[in-house]
Amino acid sequence: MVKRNSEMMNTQNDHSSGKLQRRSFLQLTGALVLTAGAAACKKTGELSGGPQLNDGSTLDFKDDTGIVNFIYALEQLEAEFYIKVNEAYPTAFSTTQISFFKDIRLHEIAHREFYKSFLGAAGIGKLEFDLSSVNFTDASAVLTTAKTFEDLGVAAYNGALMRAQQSYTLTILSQVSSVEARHAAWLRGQIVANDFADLNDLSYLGADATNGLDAVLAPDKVLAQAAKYIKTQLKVINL
Amino acid sequence: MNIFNIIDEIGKVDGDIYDRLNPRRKAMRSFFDIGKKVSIAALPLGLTGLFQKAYGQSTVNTTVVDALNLALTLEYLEFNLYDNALTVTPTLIPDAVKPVITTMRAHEQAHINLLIATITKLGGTPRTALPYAAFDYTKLATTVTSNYSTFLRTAMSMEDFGVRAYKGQLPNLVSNNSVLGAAVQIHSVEARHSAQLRKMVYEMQIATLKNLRPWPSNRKTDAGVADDTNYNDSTVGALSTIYYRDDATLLNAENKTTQAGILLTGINGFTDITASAAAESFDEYLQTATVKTVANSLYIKDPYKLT
Repeated sequence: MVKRNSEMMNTQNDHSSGKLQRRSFLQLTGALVLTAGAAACKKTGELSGGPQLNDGSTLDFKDDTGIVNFIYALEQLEAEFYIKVNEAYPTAFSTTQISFFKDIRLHEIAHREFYKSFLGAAGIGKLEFDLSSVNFTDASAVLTTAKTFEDLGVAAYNGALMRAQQSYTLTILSQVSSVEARHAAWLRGQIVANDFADLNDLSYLGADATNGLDAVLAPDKVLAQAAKYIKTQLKVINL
Repeated sequence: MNIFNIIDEIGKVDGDIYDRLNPRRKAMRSFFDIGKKVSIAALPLGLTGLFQKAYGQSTVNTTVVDALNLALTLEYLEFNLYDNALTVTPTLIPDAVKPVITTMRAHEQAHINLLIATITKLGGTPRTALPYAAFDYTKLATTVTSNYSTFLRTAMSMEDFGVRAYKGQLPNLVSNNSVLGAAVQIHSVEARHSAQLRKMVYEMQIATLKNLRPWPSNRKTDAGVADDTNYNDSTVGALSTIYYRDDATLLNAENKTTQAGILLTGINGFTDITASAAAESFDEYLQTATVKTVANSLYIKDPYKLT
């Protein structure tokens, strides 16, 4: 992953404070080189093999590169959707709705292209999508699909953020996650007056209304929800 | 005995098991002694002690607790503005939008409760509760309790500030998976608040704010002309520090167009990514020192100021 942000929080990027997942625990304890321990690892096939070259569609969650690739996949989907909407807006759209949709389209293209540049050779390729189930001439269908994508995006980012191992990744992703939350809030209000964060309604994406907590989903759950729109077969490993 | 399967089984009920066993944790260090690369094969011999250490009382993580207490301060700031408007000046907010402010107040109350519970669970001390009287909400205008649009714009900038502040605290929580998880979930709720308030201000079509967006941007005139150098789209000079850069070394005002060294304006040949789109597509953080300075100068009264 490209790391060249001199403006980032340099004082907080302390590797020793990185949180620990199963794999890194095993690495730290030296289990990877232990033959005695290897037999005990039969439940974890992910331990075999070294660093993998990205074949264009593999999301390897062994480190933050996989997390960012996962997000990159979703940003590709969102950008594709808004580009399609932009080709011909539903006639029922208001001037404001068209104007804000144009904004969102540019945000999603900026996100997609940012991650493409950020990941460089470690990035997945250009994915293919199937949006044929969306009726792009129907305002309600477009708004509902957009809202669903944005709320799913919030859940995805929150799930990715809590798995990030580096402060660096955490900060970058959080800078985009709040923009996705803004999109989601505005879109909800286009469908139901005064709605922007109905956490009970969002419980299907992991929101917790009692504690005032937004949506959060593990990457595989997010991909399952987006599966019908993504034609390219994504390979998920080490999650 | 298969220690990995044991740990896996524990992991099913305690997602933090690997954090607890983290050899980088002070309490666990003697067990693993990374420097000497002690073999894990020796682990079962000391298993009882291992789990005692993993689950035993450890020292309070002040980085995490301090971050949560700063967040708690901001939640009191937000809660009191909404609560006062709804209970003390009930005619301030039009009935049609009262549900919006009521929902926001409920979220802030839930966040307060969760933060107090979490800090306590971590062995820390939650900061003392801050009443309405601890805050000054009049920097935009003294009519914040009598004029609806003043109230709305005050709330908007306050939430803009909250989102930036939460973002800046996330790296301080990276050592605790579950706390980080809750914080990112609060963070996006605050972003939704900010977006909603911005939308409501936009809908009022107030002069100088007719092109305000749910997403912070560089400033646009009512005719739609963007000023790429102006980072304060609230147009309130007194609140400019909320939209300004983190400190002298970080060029992250809200009109920032370069992220991680990558220029977003016109990125990869996409010429329609303007400076406005580039600025809007990423939100910016504020770190602890700047958050305290801004909070003290704009909102918190003596003797409640943050140190």
